[in-house]
Order: sequence, then C-alpha cells, then structure tokens
Amino acid sequence: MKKINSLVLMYRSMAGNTRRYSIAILLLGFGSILAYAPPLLIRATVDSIIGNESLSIHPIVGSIFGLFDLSILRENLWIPGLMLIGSAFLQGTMVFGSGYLAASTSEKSSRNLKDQLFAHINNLPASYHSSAEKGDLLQRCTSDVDTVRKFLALQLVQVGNAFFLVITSLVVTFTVHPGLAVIALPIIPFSIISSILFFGKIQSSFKRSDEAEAALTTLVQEHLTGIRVVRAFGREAHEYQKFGERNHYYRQVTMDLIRWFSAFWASSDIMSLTQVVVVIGVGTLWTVQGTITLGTLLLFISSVWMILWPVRMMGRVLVDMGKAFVAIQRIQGILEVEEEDMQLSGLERDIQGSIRFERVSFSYADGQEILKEISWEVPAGTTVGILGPTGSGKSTMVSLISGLYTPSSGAIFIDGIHIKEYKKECLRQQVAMVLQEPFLFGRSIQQNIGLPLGPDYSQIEIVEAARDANIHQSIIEFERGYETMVGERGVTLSGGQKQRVAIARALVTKAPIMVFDDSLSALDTETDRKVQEAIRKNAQGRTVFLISHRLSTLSKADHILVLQEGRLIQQGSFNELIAEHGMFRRLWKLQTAKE
Amino acid sequence: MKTKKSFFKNLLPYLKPYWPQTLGLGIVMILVGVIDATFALWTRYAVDTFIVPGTTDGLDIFIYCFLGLVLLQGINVFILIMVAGYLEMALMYDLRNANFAHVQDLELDYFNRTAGGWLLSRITSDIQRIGQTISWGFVDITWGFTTITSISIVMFILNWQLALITLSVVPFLIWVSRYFQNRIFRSQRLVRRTNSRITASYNEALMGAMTTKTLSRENESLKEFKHLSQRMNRMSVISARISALYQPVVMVLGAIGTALALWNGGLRVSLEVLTFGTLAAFLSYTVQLFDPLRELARVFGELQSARAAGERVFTLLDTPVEIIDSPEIIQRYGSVLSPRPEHWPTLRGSIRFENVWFRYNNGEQILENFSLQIPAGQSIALVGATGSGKSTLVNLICRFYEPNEGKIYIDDRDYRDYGLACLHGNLGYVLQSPQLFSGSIEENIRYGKLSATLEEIVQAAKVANAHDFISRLPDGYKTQVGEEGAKLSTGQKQLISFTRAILADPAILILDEATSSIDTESESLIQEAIHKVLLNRTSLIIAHRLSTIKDADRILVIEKGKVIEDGNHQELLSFGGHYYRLYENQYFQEQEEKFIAGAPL
Repeated sequence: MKKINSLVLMYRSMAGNTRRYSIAILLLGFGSILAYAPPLLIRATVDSIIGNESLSIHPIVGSIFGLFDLSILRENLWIPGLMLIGSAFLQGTMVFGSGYLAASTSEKSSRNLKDQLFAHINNLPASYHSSAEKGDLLQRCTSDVDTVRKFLALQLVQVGNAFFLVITSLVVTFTVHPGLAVIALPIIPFSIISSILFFGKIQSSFKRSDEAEAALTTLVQEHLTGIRVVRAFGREAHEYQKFGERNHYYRQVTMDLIRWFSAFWASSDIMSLTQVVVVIGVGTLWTVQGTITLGTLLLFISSVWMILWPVRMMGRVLVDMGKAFVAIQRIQGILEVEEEDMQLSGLERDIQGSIRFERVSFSYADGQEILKEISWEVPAGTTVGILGPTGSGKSTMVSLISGLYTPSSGAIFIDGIHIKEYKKECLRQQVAMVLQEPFLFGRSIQQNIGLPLGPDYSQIEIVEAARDANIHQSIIEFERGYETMVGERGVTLSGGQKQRVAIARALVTKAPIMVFDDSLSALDTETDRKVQEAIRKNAQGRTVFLISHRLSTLSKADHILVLQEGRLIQQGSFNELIAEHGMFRRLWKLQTAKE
Repeated sequence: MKTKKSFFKNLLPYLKPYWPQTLGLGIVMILVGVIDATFALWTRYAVDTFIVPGTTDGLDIFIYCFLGLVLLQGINVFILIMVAGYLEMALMYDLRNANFAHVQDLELDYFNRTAGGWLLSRITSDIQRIGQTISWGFVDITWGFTTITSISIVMFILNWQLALITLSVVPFLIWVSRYFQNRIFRSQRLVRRTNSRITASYNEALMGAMTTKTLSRENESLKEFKHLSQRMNRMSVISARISALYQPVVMVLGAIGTALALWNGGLRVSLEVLTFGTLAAFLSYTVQLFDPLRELARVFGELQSARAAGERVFTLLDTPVEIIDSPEIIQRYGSVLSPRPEHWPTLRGSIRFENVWFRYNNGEQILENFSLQIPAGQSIALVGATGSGKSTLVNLICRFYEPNEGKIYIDDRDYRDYGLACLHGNLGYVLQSPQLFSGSIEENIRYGKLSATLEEIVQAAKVANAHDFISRLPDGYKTQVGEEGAKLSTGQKQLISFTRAILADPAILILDEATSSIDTESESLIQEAIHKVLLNRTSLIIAHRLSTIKDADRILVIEKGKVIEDGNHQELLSFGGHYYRLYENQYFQEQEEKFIAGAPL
C-alpha cells in the first residue's frame, strides 16, 4: 500500500511532464539503436563500395546505397563519409535531446517539489513546529528531494531505455526467428530475477553500512560540539581511539558490501557472456545445419550485445529506485501533515485592541492540559503584566491571541469579535509578538528590523525603533552598521542583542497589540530599564502584554494577570493586588523589604 | 595549475602503502581490456571456421574455450571490484584518521573560528569523494589508456599514414573536452552555491517558523524562496545543457575521424597502396577508439571535482597548530594522542599569573600586565560583567590560549613545561551548558577517569547527588543518554557533568556555572554537589549564584581585565564597594525568582 502511494506521489511529482519524460526515453532508445548505424555503414562501404560484394548482404544500408550509382560512390568516398558523420550527428542530437530533456524536466519536477515543501512548511501549524525534529526535516527537504531528482533525471530514462531496447529486440528477434529468440533472450528474466533477489539479500548489508557511516558522522559531530570537554579532560587519545574503531567498523561493513557487489557483477557478467556463447554456439550449429542464414545469426548476435548493457544496468537502477522510493515516502510524510487553517475568507479590519478571554482552555494533542478556563478582559490601550512560574502557561496564553494555537474550549474576542472571524494574516499583522527565544533571519540587521514593513520601509523608522530598543548604539559600532549581516555568514549577536533587535522589529510595526514574552530576560538591569521606558512610551494607545519575572516591570502595568499551573489565580491593578491576600502581595512584601 | 599539482602531491603519501594493490589492479584492468577486445574476434572465428566451410568439427572445443574465457573475465571482474573497493576504503580510512588526529592537535580557538559543519563535511563527504574518485577513477583511466594505447599501436602498425589522419581529430577532442569540463565545472559550482542557499532557506524556515508566523510572512518568504528555486532551476538547466551537449560533440568528432579514415583509406585502396583487408581491419578499430576517449574525459572531469574536495581536505590537514609542545616535552610526557601518564608529576594546583598580557586574534586587548596568585586548594569565585575577562582567565589556565607576554606558573613551574596532555590530565571542567556524548550514563561519567570501576563511578555519583536519580531510571547507569544527552533534562545533565569532574578528581577544577534556571529539585542538589566538590581543591568558578559565590574561599571582582576587589564574602561586603551592590541586587532578584517558582497556591 505504501509502495503504491509513493508511486502515485512520484507520478504526481512528474505531473504535466510525463510526455516530456516519454519523449526523452524514446529519443534515448532511438539513439541507442542508431548507435548501430556507423558500424553497418562502414561494413557496407568496405564490402560493397571499396570491395566487390553484392549490396544485398547489407539490407538497410544497401538499399540506401542503391539510390546512388555505385561507381559515383566509388569515385566520391566522402559521400559515405558524410553519411557516417550525419548518422553520428543524428544520434548525437537524440542523445543530447534525451539528456537535456530528462535533466531539465527533472529539475522542474524537483523545483515544484521544493516549492511545495517550502510552502507547506510555512503553513504547518505552530503545534507541529514546536515538536518537530528539525534536522530530520531539513534532510528530507534537501537530500531526499535530490535523490528523487537524480532518479528522475538519470535512472528513470535508463529504465525506459532498457524497456524500449528489450521490447525492440524481442519484436525483431521473434519476427525473424522465434526459435533462436527463445535461445537468445533468457538473460532478460534471469538478470531481472537475480537482481531483485540479490538486492533483497544485501538490504541488511546496505543498512549496516549506512548506519556505520551515520555513527561515524555522529561521533565527529558530537566531538566538535563537545570539543571543550574533550580538551579540558585531555581525552584526545580516547576520542581518537573511539573514532578509529568506528572508522574501522565502517570500512569493515562496507567491504562486506563490496564483496557482495563483486560477486554480483562477476556472476552477472558471466551470465551475460554465457548468453553470448550460447547464441554463437547454437547459432553456428543451426547455420551449418542450414536452419538459419548467416545474416540472421549476425543479427541475433548484435541483438544480444545490444540488450546486455541495459539489462546489466538493471541491477544498479533497482538499488537507486529503492532509494528514491524511500526518499519520496519521507517527503510525503511532511506533505501529508495538515496545514494550518489561515481563515483566508475571514474579516480584515483595523483592530482597536480590546481583548476578552472567555473560559479559555488549552491542551496539547497528547492531552496535557496547559490552560484551564481562563477568563479576563482588558479595554484597548491597556498595559497588561503577566506573572507566573515557569510552565504556568503564560507563553501559551499570549500565543492564543495571535491565533498560533487554537483554544480547546472557550472563546477569545478582539474588539468584541471572535478571533475565528478574523483572517489570520490580518490578526498577526496587528499583533506584534516578541518571542522568548527570538529568531533573526540571515540578512542585514536593517532588513531584519524592517521585515514587518515589507519591501518599502524607511530608514528613519528603523533607526527610531532601534534607538527605542536600545540597540542603535551597538549596531553603529559594527563595522558595517545597519548593513551588518546576522547569522552564519555574518556576526553572531549575543542573546541580549538578539532580544533587542527583535524588540525593535516589533516596535517598528506600530501594531495596536504588542506582546513581549519575557523578552528582557537577557538584559542587564540598566538596559532593561531603558528598554522598558521606550516600550512604555510606545505603549500609548496600544494594548501591550509584558511577561516578566521582575516586579519592577509589572509595577508599571495597568492590569496584572497572575497564572499558576494553567489557572488564573489573581488579576487586577497593581494596587488592588497588593491589597489582596495572595501570591502577589507576598512577592511585593519581599520587594519592599529590600528598600 | 599549481594547486592541482599540490593536491596530487599531497595525496601521494596516502597512496604509497597500497602500491602492490594498485599495481595488481592495473594488471587486472589491462587483462579485462584485452579480453573485452577479443570478443569481436570470436564471432569472426566462428563464421570463418565453421559456417563458411559448413562444418561443426571442433565447435565443442571452441565453445569450451569461449566459456573458459568468460569465466576468466568473471574472475577478473570480481578481483577488480574487490581491489578497487579495498583501495577506496583504505584511502578513506587513512585520510579520515589523519584528519581526525590533526583536529585533536588544533587549538580550541580554531573551533571558535571555524563552523562545525565545515569541519564535519571535510571529514565525511569530502573524503568520501576523494576515495571514490581516486580508486574508481584509477580503474577507468587504466582501462581507457590501455584500450586507447593498444588500438593506436595496432592502427600505426597497420598503416601509419592512415593512423595519423584518423588521430588528427584527437587534439580537437582534447581541446573540446577541456573546454567542456571547464564549463561544466564552473556551472556546477554555481549550482552548488545556489543549492547551499536553498538549504539555508529551509533551515531558516524550520528554525524561524514561529517568527515567520507571528510576522505573518509566510507568503513573502515563499516568494523569496521561489525566486531562489527559480534561480536554481535556471542554473541547473544551463549546467545540464552543457553536460548533455558534451557527449554528442565527442560522438560527432569521433565520426569525423572515422569518416576521414574511410575516405582516405578508400582512396588508398583504389590507388592500390593499401590492401582491402587492412582497411577493413583498420576501420573496425577506429570505431572502438572514441568510446574510451569519451570515458577518459568524463573521469578527468570527476577528478576536477575530487580535486576541489581534496584541496579542502588538505587545507584542514595543513592548518598549522598554534599551541604546541616542544619535542622534549612530548618525549617526556607524551602528546595528546599518545600520552604517557606514568611520567606525569602530581600537581598540587597552585597557580600564578606573572605580568600576563593577552589579546584575542581580533585585536581585542583583554589582559594588560596581569598578575595573580592562587595557592593550592583555594576556591576562587570570579565575578564580573560579560566581557570583563573572567572566561579569558579560565581559557588561559586551560591553555586553550597562551599569553602574548608574561608567564603562567603551576606549582611554581612554567605551565608549558608540563605539556598539554599532562596539564589537561590534571584539569576538570564543568561547562555552563553540560555536554554529554551519546552512550550510557556510565560511559559518560567514566569520561572523567577511563580506568574507573563501576564502584568508583557510583561513589562519585553519590558525592555529586546524582546517584538517586540515576538509580531511579529503569536502566540505571546503563541508560542511554541519546545524542548530546538529549534524553535527559538539563538538570540531570548538569549532575552527570559534575559526577564526571568528581571522578576525575583533578588538581584544578574549572566550573562555569549555569545561568539558566533549572527545576528547583536539581538546583538544590547541584548547590550541594558544588559545595562538596570545591572542598580543598584549587578551583575557579565563573559564578552566577550567590550561594556558590559565598561558599568560595576568595572572590575576585573583575572589570576590564583587572581585579578590582579581592577577598572573601564578609570582607567584600564590609568593604561596601562593587561587590556589595552586586550582591544586594542579585540577592533580591534570586529571592523573587525563588518565590515565584516555589509559590504556594
């Protein structure tokens, strides 16, 4: 069933291009047949034009030569010469056409697949991403797609070509002499069956070699990440020994594989060549007995030679085909995951910023309950502080506002309208979020901050936001200032710098709702104070959420929500909360004891 | 051109030990080529000997001989693949060992400068490419050259004028091949470069998925990606066109060569300077000449890309080692790869910095004329802002870097005189983010002392407060920790990392305390463990937690590469300076955090 599915997907990835692949296969097939033209031409020329044999022993070429006067051909040997070049040219054109067509079409297929995967990844729900194994996904998007591309570009055409040649020679040989055909062609089923048997047999060897290689890679990778530990404990010799062992093991199991391969190729060569011996032997006998003519025998011998190569290639193609099927299944695994519903036909409007949670609960797919019946309401323009221990559900709660997750029960209203009514794009453009672990893209700092503004941002807006986020000074100290590249190909920013760039990115949006998810944690006290001031300045007329551990931050909020184990245990203004018995008051007392 | 030479020259020492195999492979290859060439003759023999005279006398012998040859060829093929595969594996094995060994010698700073991914692909995929191309390339080249040479020789013997005329296309062929190989190589490079950008895009899409969503950039980023994938498509198609064109061009050139022979040979026959039979034989050889030529061109193209891989590998191998011991010291105490612990002196662990100057390679001056004395057995808490120089001190003591000027003494002897192996053998290091290796918990702890028995390991785990959680795990000490310890919580990893250091029982312990909060239970266990480990041991702690700082015998407040306050907790508090303010701030922050984390309902 799985095999069939992947066949379907493979077919679909070629969709719209099946004709181009068929043409490529046909061209290659004709090209392979045309490869027999030069020897035939030469033989006919030598035998009948230069020599004195009758043209009739060369059926095809002879009839072409018959169009000319033989004496003219004899005088002008460049004519058959040109014909030779012409046939090579024709063959070359076909080989080129086939190769180019297959390669460019497979590129097109792989591009489609890549685009599809990329779009799909972007549209997968947040819940998928939060638990995804990213290394594995990356592997699927890159090397698995490439495996499929190679299969389409090279092997598919080879398989097609083999089929074409096999069928051609079957037709030709059976029409010419069925008896000899039965003798000449057992190699085809033999070879296919033995390839399948063989590759079934060495699967485990293959897997062992692959795993040994992966183990070696893992060791090097871990070694490189843990290099400080290795060095500090002086364990270089120990590591080298471990590496040596795995290196040796990989070599050993791969040699097993090579031994199998030698056996396979040797036996398949013996089989193929024996087939030639059989045809020559039996053919000679029958010719001498007069059952068949010499011409028929020669035709059969060349037919056998012609199909031997593609039939022998079959084994290799089978391996690659297996790999391609595994790859396409892995790709399919991503594409099968359902995309997030972006509520495309939803409402698009300017948000004011009043928010109401009505008995909102949320649990993960595995049943783990994160939020329990939370209700609160704030008017537009409120600064909301959120407090609670790690794992109390703060981040999840604010993620619900921009529709990253969907509540399991209860409802959320923005400006009195259920968030299900909004188009998600509209919602997210107006809810600026700074995540706990901010991510910057591999482009310039300026572009990173300007991302929410689209392509036509103004420099002034960006510098202003950067100043507010207290990162402007650090940026201009970089050699290339705002043009400094971030990430692998550029500078590595510290955690605090990243947070501030992300804050600038949020400030630049001037969105009516802003969420700062513990975004100041990596900043020192002084910077923290400055950034907070800037946020307060920007908070005028906006609804702002601040998740923080620090009382000083929360004291400036209009409304404070206190979460614990997924429940809202206290809410109110700062003054209300310190008047109330509870966690907040105890915390505040601790604070005042300091002063 | 110069680099090409250097790659093969570099490679030569790695091939040398395998010359008998290489020679054997060459011989088998020639045999295969010769047998292959005779197959056409067998048909002719059958026609001439049996069919034309109309007899079957000796047909059975003919068939037996033929079958014998087939068997011989099968054996040849078997040997060929075995030996070529052996060479491939041997080359890879040796190159990998050499590279990994060299990596052990490189100074730690190298790994800060060099991306791990870069190093990884040198040791894995690049070396694989070299192994494959060199061994199988050798097979193809031998086969190609054998065939071409033997055919050319036969052609020259048959008729040298005609041979010259036919071979006149070969210079063109070489020129065209070079042209195409260059174009293919260049276009492939562009394709690969674009491809790495595509990979980077996927990586960003995966790592930054949440950010993309919150910025609502799904469509824009897809648009950007499509731009890239379109570019990739364009590049690949250009590359494919060039590659696809190459083979037909060689075919046509070959046909021109054959046509020249046909035309000129025919003239010679009619002028009766050449016999008919010679021309027929000659022509059948010309057809066979051009296939191997094309094959050779392909192999040379592949060698180009192997060369690129090879250059990268040898760049790694040729990276000079900056921190290195003198031969005398290696002689005495061994190198890092073959240490001689039996000769190591026992260190007590006093440390002295004497007028040390240090700056990083990027020119950032950290220490200026820095001096410091730490008696053996003292625990030191290093306190100060990021970039103040705390980590630099630790890096210098570990000799991950060396001072630009001045000296560091351990037990009153220049610490370079101990050699890296001995120094690191006496060090223990607990990292801020605990680093484990895949394998069992037991193996990870044993990393501290390779000869430790299970009893010793359990003992150490008990001291580090790790024993309880370990024995609660279903597989106990045999529990697999997963890649980089992924199956354990941060707190658990922290405890194992402590156990490892305790087992090592080092003269000097370096502790880079974690900043990130972990669950309360592990937290208090770790605090307790730290306390036990520090007792009577020279230790340097990059400290973040007050309890750790208070526990230390001595606190150094570092600012801009200088010790601005030096004393124990009580002394510094009553001094009322930097430390006092820091302590106050920190105290309340910690109280708050503790409170929030452990607040009762």
